[in-house]
Amino acid sequence: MSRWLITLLFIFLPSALGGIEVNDIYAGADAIYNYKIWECEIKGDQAEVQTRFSVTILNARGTDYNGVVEYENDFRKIKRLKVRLLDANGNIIAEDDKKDLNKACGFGDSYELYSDVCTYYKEYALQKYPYTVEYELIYDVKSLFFWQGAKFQHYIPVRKASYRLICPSDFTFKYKCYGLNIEPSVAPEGDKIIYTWERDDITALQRIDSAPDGYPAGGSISFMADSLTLGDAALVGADWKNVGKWHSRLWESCIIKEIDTMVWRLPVTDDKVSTAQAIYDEVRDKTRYVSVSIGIGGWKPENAVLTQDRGYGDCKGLSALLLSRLRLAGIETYPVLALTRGDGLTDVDFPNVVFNHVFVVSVIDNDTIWMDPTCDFCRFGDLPYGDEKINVLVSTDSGGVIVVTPSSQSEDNKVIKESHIFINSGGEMEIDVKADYYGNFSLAKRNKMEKLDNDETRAYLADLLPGGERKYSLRNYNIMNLSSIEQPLTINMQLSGNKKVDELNHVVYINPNLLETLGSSETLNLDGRDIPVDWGYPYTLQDNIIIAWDSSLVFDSIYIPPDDAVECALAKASCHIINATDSIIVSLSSSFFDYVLPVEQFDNFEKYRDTKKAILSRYIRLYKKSE
Amino acid sequence: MSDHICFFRRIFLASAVIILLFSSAFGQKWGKVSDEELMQGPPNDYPEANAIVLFDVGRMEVSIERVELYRHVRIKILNRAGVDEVGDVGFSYDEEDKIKGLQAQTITPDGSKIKVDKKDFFTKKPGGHEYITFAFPSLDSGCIIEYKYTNSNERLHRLDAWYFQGDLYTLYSEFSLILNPGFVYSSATVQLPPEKREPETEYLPNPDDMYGRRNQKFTWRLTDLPPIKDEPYMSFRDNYLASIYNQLVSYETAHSKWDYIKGWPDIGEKFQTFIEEYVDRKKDVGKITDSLIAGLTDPLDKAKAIYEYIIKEIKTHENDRGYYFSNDKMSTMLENKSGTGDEKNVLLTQMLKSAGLSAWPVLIGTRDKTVFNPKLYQTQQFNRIITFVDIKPTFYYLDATSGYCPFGVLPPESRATGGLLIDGRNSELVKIVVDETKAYRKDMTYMTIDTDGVARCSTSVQFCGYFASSYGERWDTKQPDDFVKDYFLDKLDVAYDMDTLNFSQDSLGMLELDITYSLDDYVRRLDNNVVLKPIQYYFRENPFKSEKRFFPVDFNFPFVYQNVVKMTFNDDVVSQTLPEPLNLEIPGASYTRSCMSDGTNIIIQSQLSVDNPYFPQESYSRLREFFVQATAAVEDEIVVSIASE
Repeated sequence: MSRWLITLLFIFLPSALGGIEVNDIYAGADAIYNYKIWECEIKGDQAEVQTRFSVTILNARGTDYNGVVEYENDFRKIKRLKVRLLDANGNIIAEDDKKDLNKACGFGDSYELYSDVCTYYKEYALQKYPYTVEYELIYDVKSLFFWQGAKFQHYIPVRKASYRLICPSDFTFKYKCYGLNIEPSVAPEGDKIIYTWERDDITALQRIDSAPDGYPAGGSISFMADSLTLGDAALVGADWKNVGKWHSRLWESCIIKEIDTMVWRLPVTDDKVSTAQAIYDEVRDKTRYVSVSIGIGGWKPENAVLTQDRGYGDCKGLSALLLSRLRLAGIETYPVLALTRGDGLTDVDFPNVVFNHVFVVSVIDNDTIWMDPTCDFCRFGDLPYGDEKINVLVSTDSGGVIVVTPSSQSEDNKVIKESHIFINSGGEMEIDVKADYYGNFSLAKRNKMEKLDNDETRAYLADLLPGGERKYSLRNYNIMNLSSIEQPLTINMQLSGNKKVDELNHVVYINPNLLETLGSSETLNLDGRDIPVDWGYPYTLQDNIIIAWDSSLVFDSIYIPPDDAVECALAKASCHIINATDSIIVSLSSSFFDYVLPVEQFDNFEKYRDTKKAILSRYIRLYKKSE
Repeated sequence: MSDHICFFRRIFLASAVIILLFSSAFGQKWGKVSDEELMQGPPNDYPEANAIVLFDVGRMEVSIERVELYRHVRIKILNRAGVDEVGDVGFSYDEEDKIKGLQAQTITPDGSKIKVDKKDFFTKKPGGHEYITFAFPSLDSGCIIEYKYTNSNERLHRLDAWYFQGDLYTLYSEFSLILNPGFVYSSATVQLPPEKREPETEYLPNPDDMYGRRNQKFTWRLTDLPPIKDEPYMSFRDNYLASIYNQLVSYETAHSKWDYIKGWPDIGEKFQTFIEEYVDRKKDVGKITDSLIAGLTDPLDKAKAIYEYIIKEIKTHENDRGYYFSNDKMSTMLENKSGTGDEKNVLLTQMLKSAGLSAWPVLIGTRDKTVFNPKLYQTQQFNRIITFVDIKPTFYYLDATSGYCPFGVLPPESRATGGLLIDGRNSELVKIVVDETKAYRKDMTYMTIDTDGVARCSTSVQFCGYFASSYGERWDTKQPDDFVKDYFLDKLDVAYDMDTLNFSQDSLGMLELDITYSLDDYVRRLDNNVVLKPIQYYFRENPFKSEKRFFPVDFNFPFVYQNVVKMTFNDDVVSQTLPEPLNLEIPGASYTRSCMSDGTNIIIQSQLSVDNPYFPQESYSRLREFFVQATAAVEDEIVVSIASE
């Protein structure tokens, strides 16, 4: 039987690989996974997983893969960890087990103050390439909540990957393969069933700039047990509705239902929206984000009263506090489970429990109000960039519901610059800029700038203009509304140009676009690209510039480039210049309307981009009077 | 009667000691916050502070049983950003230490106190050290936070350093060292102004001393200390912090005296034992050495062959155990073909000895971790073993850590000022004499400007000396395209198409990178004029952004950066306007730029030379201005008038 399989594999392999020769897969690789093998046995609500990995490091660039890092916590117990380092001839150079690896405890993710996790790690290397690192790991998974999947594909090729699942015959679960189309073999064995997913010769993933969430779709399998228990909350039935119900049960004891339990007074307002705003504003302003993850505390929030008393908590804790208060005020409010923008994509077709963030949504008069208490500078009703336009699970009374969070519009995320440029008698520019930042621009700037001292602020501001300190000297600055939530962030700068304006043959040339550069995504090469471009978020940039000059500079005539505008489905730009005799007034505007530029829009966008570049590179000419 | 007087005097004195001890630091007591502290705003010389240390007081008492450091820190939060800046606090200590009496609390502007619950102190264990971390509750602008603890340990020979300065502006920092009778310590201060180096000395009664001897108390106080933040071209950060290091000199009872510091030879002898315990199977090492030097007669050739073998055959890995050797024995390292730089250098020393050469290990502190202070008799100052080989008439310091350092050239971080040569009782301090050959980098770019304004470029970069080791290691671990993007093309801030790249190393260790690429939007067209800047990749930006700097600039090694750009135009050139020649010079550094034209081709040549890698704090503003001007020259444009069509 296996002989037939091998023969069939050779016949079908080229077509399965899309016509790629097997040798091509490994050409130019810096490291290769020889095998990645999982064997998982389901034992009630728990599982025992054995993994065997082997990776050959071919050169120094492959050393990203020569380390072993495994963790252990209340829900994942390592039973055996064996590592071997082999040289090019297959000789065993080093052999370690768990106790030989470095151990660090208490360190979770970078944002966590503390986590009850212990990490075992060690790097294995030889001076002579190639060398191979093999390791075997056996660990217990203490809840099927943590049985979530396996990754077959990496940025290096994989010779063989397989996942063998041994489970009781009555065990039910769902799975989905991403990036690779693999159907498992299914073999009953006594009172068990064995599923096997296998794939050989898996190509390396390509690193692609500005790839949106979900791209590239790396080959992996996701699993979801039809029933599982985490803490004291059981999930029965792997669909979104039941995931929501399970979540409600998990949070049940942390939500405060009696106002007397909280030493807190309901705000007095005229309507529910104002009440919700007062509650949100207070939680946002009087608490701070601190993440401590111990045991079930990584998934279940602290009691809302404790979070209130401490004045700090993680996203779950702060959301449970906000939700408790809103509900105590009679406002229908639900937790929102999210995988934030930039961290992955929630697949609406595959119900699972993979989330990394929680916030809340209230429903008032059939309208939704979304609130993230961890966002220090978010206005009531606004979400931070990471929460915008993503698939989320709202945990309602009747179960989970998948929805998409609101998008911000290009008008929400604005930068408006009002600038006065004065050309003095020596031909040097003196520039006054007032820049107002709105929406996501202001959030990012506030988060960054509030931590800067004077020197750092000066350096940061100087770099806001194209060419930065090389082109301009920042003489003075003033920042307004840095801590404000409601007002736009305003930055006033007085600068002088380090170089004179371009003057050639008695003609002064001024680039109307001199205060703004094209973003890096706009210079991204789209030739041959087959995945969308992550554009960040929709935005509008508006530049209004008044250019004046010293009376000693007398111009015979002034050439103003004609007004022009260009637009495509997702973007528009315009340039409008007025000759006001003693000054020139320039209005530039550029907008992008979505988060992602889809592949089908590439051609249109290329044309738009070329035209925009042409518009913005036309110069104003001031012809000096002949002496 | 006299007994009674004596008794009451002792009670009185003991009470006085307790009062003195617990009311130090301007009389601050735990939880007692003065109106001045509640009203305290940002300091005049650092008005942008989000939070300030009101006081950081340490009292270290040394007795025959233990060392106890009592520490009390109080911090004022000045605004909401200060909450994020200081809301989570932590401190580290050796894993053998005991932390006692840890308390922390928030004091709100109305005087309410909210304590950090005991269960909310968390201990992280990264290995070797432990780290306690906690979050202050109920924080807002105007709150004061404070914490205190006692660290009890038995490191009598090496007291923990006290840092008066840190990440926050510190209004007041005080450190007291209380020595029980019989202890003699010596102190070394770092970055303390001369008038603050001598401590205030007091004698305190010690009721437990049966001979009536008194405790000695030494106190150092500093005020108004600006924060030390990371800046470019700084060596080990701790070297810039005002700090004090204390070490045990001797202990004496009525009957005996123990000398702990007998000088560097004593330390060297002990370290030699440590190395000898590591070195094993010398015969096997001898056999390998014999095979390496077979046929060689010149001692220098032998030394070079051994050095080459070690840098090429033994992989350097990070020291994950924290104390020199990651393998138990040298033979294990040889089997694993992998060891720390220290292990490789011990092997190097051993092999050189096997080859009949005079070689010794030398302990140094790398520049990124410490600065050697010969007055501090502590091995903790050192963190690397290198090798000294005497090949008469000359000698060499060798460090086989990096695969890119030619024989006789130390890696940049190993360019220490001094070290301890390990030779048993003959161990001695040595000056590390380094090869002062300048690191050299030359960028040569040919630009051809098409009639449609596209710049077709080829850049050839030569890296020599320390540039070769630095960029060679980066090349090894980065994808080739990423290397070129990160260190070259992305710096231009315009779209580019990269065509080819080639990277090579010659037998002398010089690296060369060749890239060809085109730039569609680099050239500006102003009517019949073509305007463009000569391409420059290194030192495009002034690295010294801060107007003030509270510590020296340390480039680590002298270097020369030469940039040559040759431009040709496919259009008929009518005239050219070239940037003026530029000459900048300050003590220790110079920059020159010249432009030439033969009517068709233009050559722009610039050279930045840093002859003296160390610039004291006083010359910072001059150095900064030098780099402002040198990097502004990158913006100087060439204007070429071309014939009308």
